[in-house]
Amino acid sequence: MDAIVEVRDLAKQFKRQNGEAFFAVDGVDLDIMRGEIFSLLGPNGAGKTTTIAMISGLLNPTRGSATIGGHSIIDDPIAAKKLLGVIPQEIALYPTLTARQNLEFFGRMYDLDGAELRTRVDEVLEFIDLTDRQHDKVETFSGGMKRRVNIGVGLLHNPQLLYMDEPTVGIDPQNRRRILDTVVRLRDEKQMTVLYTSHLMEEVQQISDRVGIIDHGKIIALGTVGDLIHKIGEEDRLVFKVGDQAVPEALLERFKAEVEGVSSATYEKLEIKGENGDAPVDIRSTSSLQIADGTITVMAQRGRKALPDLLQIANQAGLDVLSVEVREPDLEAVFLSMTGRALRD
Amino acid sequence: MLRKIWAIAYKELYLTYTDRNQILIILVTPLALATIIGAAFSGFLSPGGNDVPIRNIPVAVVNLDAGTEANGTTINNGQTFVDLLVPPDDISDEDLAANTLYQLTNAIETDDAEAARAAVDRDEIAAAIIIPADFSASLAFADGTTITPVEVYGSAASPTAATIIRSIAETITAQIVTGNITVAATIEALTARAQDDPAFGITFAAASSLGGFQPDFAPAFNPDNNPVRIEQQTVSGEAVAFNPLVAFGAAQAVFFMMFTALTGANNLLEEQRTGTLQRLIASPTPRIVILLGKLVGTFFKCVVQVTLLVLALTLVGSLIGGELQFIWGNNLLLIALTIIAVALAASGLGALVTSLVRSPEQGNVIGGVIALAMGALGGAFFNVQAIPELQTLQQLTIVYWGVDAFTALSMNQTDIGLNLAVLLGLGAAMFAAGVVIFTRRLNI
Amino acid sequence: MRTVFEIARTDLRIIFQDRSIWLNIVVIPVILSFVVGFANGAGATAPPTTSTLLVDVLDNDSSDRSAQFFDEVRAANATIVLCPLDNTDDDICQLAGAALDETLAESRLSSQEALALIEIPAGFGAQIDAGEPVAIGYRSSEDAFAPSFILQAVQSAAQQIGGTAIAATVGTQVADDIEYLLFVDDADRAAFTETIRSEAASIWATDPVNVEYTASDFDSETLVNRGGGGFSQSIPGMATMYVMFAIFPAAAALIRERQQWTLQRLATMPVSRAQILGGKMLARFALGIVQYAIIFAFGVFLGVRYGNDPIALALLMATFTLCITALTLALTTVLRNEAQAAGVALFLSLTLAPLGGAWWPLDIVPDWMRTVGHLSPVAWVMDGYRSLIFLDGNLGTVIVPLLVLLGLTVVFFVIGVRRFQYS
Repeated sequence: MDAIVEVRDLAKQFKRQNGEAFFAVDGVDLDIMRGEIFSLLGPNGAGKTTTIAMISGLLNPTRGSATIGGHSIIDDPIAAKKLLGVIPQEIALYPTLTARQNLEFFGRMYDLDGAELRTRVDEVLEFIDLTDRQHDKVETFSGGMKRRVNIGVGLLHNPQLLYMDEPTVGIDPQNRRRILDTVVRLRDEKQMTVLYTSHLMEEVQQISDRVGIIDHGKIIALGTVGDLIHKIGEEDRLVFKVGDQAVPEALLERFKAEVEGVSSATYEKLEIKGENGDAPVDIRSTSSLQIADGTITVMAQRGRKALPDLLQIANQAGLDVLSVEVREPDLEAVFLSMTGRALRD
Repeated sequence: MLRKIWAIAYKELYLTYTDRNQILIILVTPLALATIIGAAFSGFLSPGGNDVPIRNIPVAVVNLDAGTEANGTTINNGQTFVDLLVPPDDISDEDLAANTLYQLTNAIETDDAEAARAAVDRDEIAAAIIIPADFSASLAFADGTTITPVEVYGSAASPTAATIIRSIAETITAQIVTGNITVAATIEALTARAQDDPAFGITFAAASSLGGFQPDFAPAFNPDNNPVRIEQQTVSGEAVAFNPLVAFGAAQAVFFMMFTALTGANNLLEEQRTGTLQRLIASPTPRIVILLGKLVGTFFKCVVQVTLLVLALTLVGSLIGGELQFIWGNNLLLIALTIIAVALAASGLGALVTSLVRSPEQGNVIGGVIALAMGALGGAFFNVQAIPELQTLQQLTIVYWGVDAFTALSMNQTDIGLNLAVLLGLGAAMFAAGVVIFTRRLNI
Repeated sequence: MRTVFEIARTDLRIIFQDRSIWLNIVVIPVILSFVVGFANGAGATAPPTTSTLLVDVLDNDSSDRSAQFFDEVRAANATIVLCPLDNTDDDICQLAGAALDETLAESRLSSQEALALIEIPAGFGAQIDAGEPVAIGYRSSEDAFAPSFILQAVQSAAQQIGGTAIAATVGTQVADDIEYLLFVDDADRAAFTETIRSEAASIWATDPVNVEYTASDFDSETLVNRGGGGFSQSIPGMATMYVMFAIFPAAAALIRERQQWTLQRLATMPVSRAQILGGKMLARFALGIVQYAIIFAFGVFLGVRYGNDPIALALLMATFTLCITALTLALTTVLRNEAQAAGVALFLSLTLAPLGGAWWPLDIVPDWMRTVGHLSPVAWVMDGYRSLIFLDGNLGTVIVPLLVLLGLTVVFFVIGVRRFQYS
C-alpha cells in the first residue's frame, strides 16, 4: 500500500494577541495510505484544524511539506487540490442558489463541464437522495438536507482523497448511521481515501482503519484502533458520577492503595460549558449549555471485580455515587490516557 | 409591564452604543457629510453676510464700444464695465480687499473677442463679457430703437461661476440703462419744453452748443438711488436670515435617523433568525410589550442621535462662521418637541417596514431605499424646492415635515403645530399598522 | 480564465436573484439624477408657460403707482395670476369669496395654495413720486436659494418702476439747475416731471436691460446645449455615486462568504487565489459598469451629450469602476464583520461623492474645498467627464484623471491582494 498523503515536519507559527509567537503545529509527520479511512483526533487547540487546513491548501505552512498524490500542496497546489474533496463542518453553500446550481458551480471549479458536469451532478443528487428537490433553494432545506448537499459538493469530481470534517455534527442518529455507511461505501466501492475528524469516539472506532492522535502540535500516537488500545494496556475504565459533591484527594489515594489492580484514579469536578465546549464567559451570549457531572475515573485491570470494593470505600467516605459505568478499553480510554483530557466538546 | 418594556429597550440601547459600527452610521457619517456641505457652502454662512462665497472667478472684459458724442465729449458706456470690474494697476491692497466685485471676480481687459471666447471654450475663464461697438450709441434710445445687448459668453463647464458673471453683467447693464434712460427722458422733456417755450428754447440751444449746459446726471447712474427695494421675508413676515446649515444639517440629521430607525426595527428580524425573539415570546411577555420595547429602544436611539447632531452641527456652524452661534432658534421647548415627534415618526416607519419585509437583508435594502428616497425628496442632499411638481410628493416624507419645523424654529417662528401633528399622527399610525401585521405574521 | 468568469457569473446570479436590486440600480438613481439635475439648473432656462402661478397681493396703497407696478409684474411673467386682483368668475384664486387679509394670506402661503405674497406699503405711490425709498414686501415659502420666476418678475417690475422714479427725480433736479428755465408754478413743474416720467416709462417698457447669454456648449446649428444643462452635471455625478453604492457592498459579501465558509471551500478547490479574487472582483466591476450604463443611457434620454470621444468616455468609466473595485478589495482586508462593512460603505459613498463634486459642480465651492475634494477619486473622474461633456475634450485632455485613477487602482490592488485572508 502506498501513501496518498505524505506530511513531513509540517509546522505553523501564529502570533498571540500579545505578539508572542507560538507553534500551533510543530513538526507533524504523517502518511495516509490509499484506500484507508484515517481519523485524526485531538482536543481543542491541539493543532488538528491547523494541520488539516495546511493539507487542504487553506493555510501556508511555516515549514515542512505536504503532498497529495505526490503533488506538493505548496508548490503545485492546483494539481494537489484536484485530487482532494473537502466536506467542511460548516454548510459552505450559497443559500439563495438551488441545490443543483450549487453543485454545478462548484463542479465547474473542478473543471467539470458540459455533459460530464450534468452527469456527475445527476449522480451526486441521486447519491445524496435529493433529485426531487434539486431545483429548490438551499435556504429552504432542513438541516439534514443541507448537510447532504454539503457532502455532495465534496464528491462531485470523484476525489481520490476525501476530507470530512465532523460530518455528523447536529445530525439525528438515523441520518448519522446513513452518513457513516456512506463513508464506508466510498472506501469500498470507489476506493476513496478518507481523512475523517470527529469528536465521537464511538464512530471513529467503528469506521477507522487507522487513527492518529495529535496534541500540542505533534502526533503523539498513530496506528490501528487495536494497536492503540493494546498500547495503553488492557485496563477497564470505571466512571463514577458524583454530581456536585466534593471528592477529597485522600479518597482517590485510598482507591489506589486498597483495591487490587487499580492503576490510577482521577477526579473531574462539575463544569458548565458553552456550546463550543469552552467554559462560558457570559451565559447571556450562549444559546446552549452542557452541564458535565463531577466524575471519578478509575483505571483497573479487572474492573468488574474491583467495583464492590471501590463502592464500599466511597460509601465509607460518605460519598453518594449517582451512577457507575464500566467500560472495556476503547479509543476514548486511549485518548484520555494519552492526552489527559476527555474528548468532549 | 413598563419594567419589561424598559428592559427590552435598554438592551437595544446597550447593544447599539457599545458597537462602533453603529456609531459610525449614527454619528460620524452624518457629521462628516454636514461638515462637507457646510464647508462647500461656507461663503453663505458667515454672520455678517459680507463675505463673498465665491472668489476670483476668472473673467475677460472685451469693450468694443465705440462710444458716442454728446455735448462735445465722447461718452463710452462700455468703459463702465471695465472700470467696475478690472482693478487699476496701482490699486492698494486695502482698496482691493474692500471692493466686493474685485473680490468676486478676477477680471482682465482685452480687445480680442475671439481669443476671449476661445479661453471660455477651454474653461480657462468662466465667462467673457463682450460689449458691442454700438452699445453707447444704442443707449441714446433714439425713436423706436432698442439697445444692442451686451453679450456674456459663459463656460458650460463652470455653470455657477458663469451664472454669477451673467447676473453681474445684468446688474451693471441695469445701472447704465437707468442712467441713460434718465438722460434720454430728461433731454426729451427739455426739448419738448423748448418747443413750447421759444424763449427758453433759444437760450437752451445756445447754451448747449457753447457747452454751457453741463447737467449732473451722475445720481441716476448710482444704483443706491433706486427708491424701490424688494424686502424678502419669511412666510410670517420676518426678514429672511436663512442658514443653509440648518436646512441641510436638519435634513442630514433626520435622514440618518431614518437609517437608525429602519435598521433598529430590522434587528427584530435578526432576533427572529437567531431565535432570541422566539425565546422572548416563550417567556410570559405579551407580544405588544416586546414590540413596544423595541420601539422605545429605537425611539431613544433616534432622539439621542438627532440631539447630538443638532449640538454637533452648532459647533460646525460656529467654527465655519467664526463665532459661537446657536443656529436652531430660541425656542428650546419646541426644538425638543420637534426632535421627539420626528423620532417617533421614524420609529413608527421602522416598525411598519419591519413588519412588511421577509428577511433582515431585504429589510436593509428596502429600508435604505426608503431612507434615501425620503432624504432626497426631503432635501437632505439637494434643494428640491425649485421643482414645484415635487412639492406634493415631498409632503409625504418625514424628512420634509421635520426639516420644515427645524427651519421654521431656526427663524424663530413657532407655527409648527401642523408639522408636529403630522409627524405624531404618522408615527402612531405606522406603528399600529406595523404591530398588527407583525403580530399576525408571528402567529403563523 | 473560464473559472474566473464562472465565479463572476455565479456572484452576479446571486446579486440579481434579489429583485430589490433593481430599485437600487435603476429606480432610485434615475429619480435622483432627475431631481439633482433640476437642482443644478436643468429646466430653469425658461419660466413655465403652461402652469399658473398664484401670487397673493396685499395692496395697502391702492394708488396708480401700485397698479402700474402690478401691470409690470404681469408683463414680466404672463403665468402669474395676482390674487385677488385677477380673480375670475370661476375663482381661479381659490378664494371662495373670502376677502384676502394678512392672516388668510399667511395660511395660504403655508399651505402653498399661493406661492408668494406681495405687500405694498401704504404711501407707496407718494413716496416714489417724492423720490423717497420704499420697500415692497415679498414673502415666499421658497427658501432664499431657490431660483424663483415670481421673484424675478417682481424684481424686474421694481427695477422698472424704480428706474422711472430715478429719471423723474434726477431729471427734475437737472431742470432745476438750469437758471434760465423758470417754471410758472408748481403745477408747471409737476407737469415737466410727468413728461420725464412718461418718457422714461415708455423706454423702460421696451425691456431695455438685456444681456445676451450664450453657454459655451451651445450648438448654433441644432440650437441645443451640447451638454444638456444641469443634467450633464447630475447624470455623471449620480452615476458615479451609485457605482460606489453598487461596488462597496462587495466587502460585506466577501465577509459573509468567509463566514458561511464558501470562500474557504473555494480555496480548497483546484482554483488559484488570484482566480477567486479575480472572479469576485470581476462580478462587482461588471455590476459597476452596468450601473454606469443604465444611468448614462437615461442621460441620453434627458438630452445629455457625452462629447466626441467615446473611447475616452469608456476608459474613464472603466478606470473609475476599477478603482472603486480595488478600493473595496483593500477595504475588505481591514473590515471585521458585515455590519462594519455596511457602515464603512455608507460612510465612504456619502462623503466621497459630495467631496468629489458628484452632488454639485466643484466650481461653486471655495478653492480649498476643491483641493481637499481631489482626495476623492470621484473628483478626478468628474474632472474627466466635465472635460469630455463641456469642453469637447478627448483622450489627451482626460489623461491626467485617467492616470491618477489608475495609480490609485494599482495602490489599492496591491494592498488588497497582499493582505487578503481566506479564513
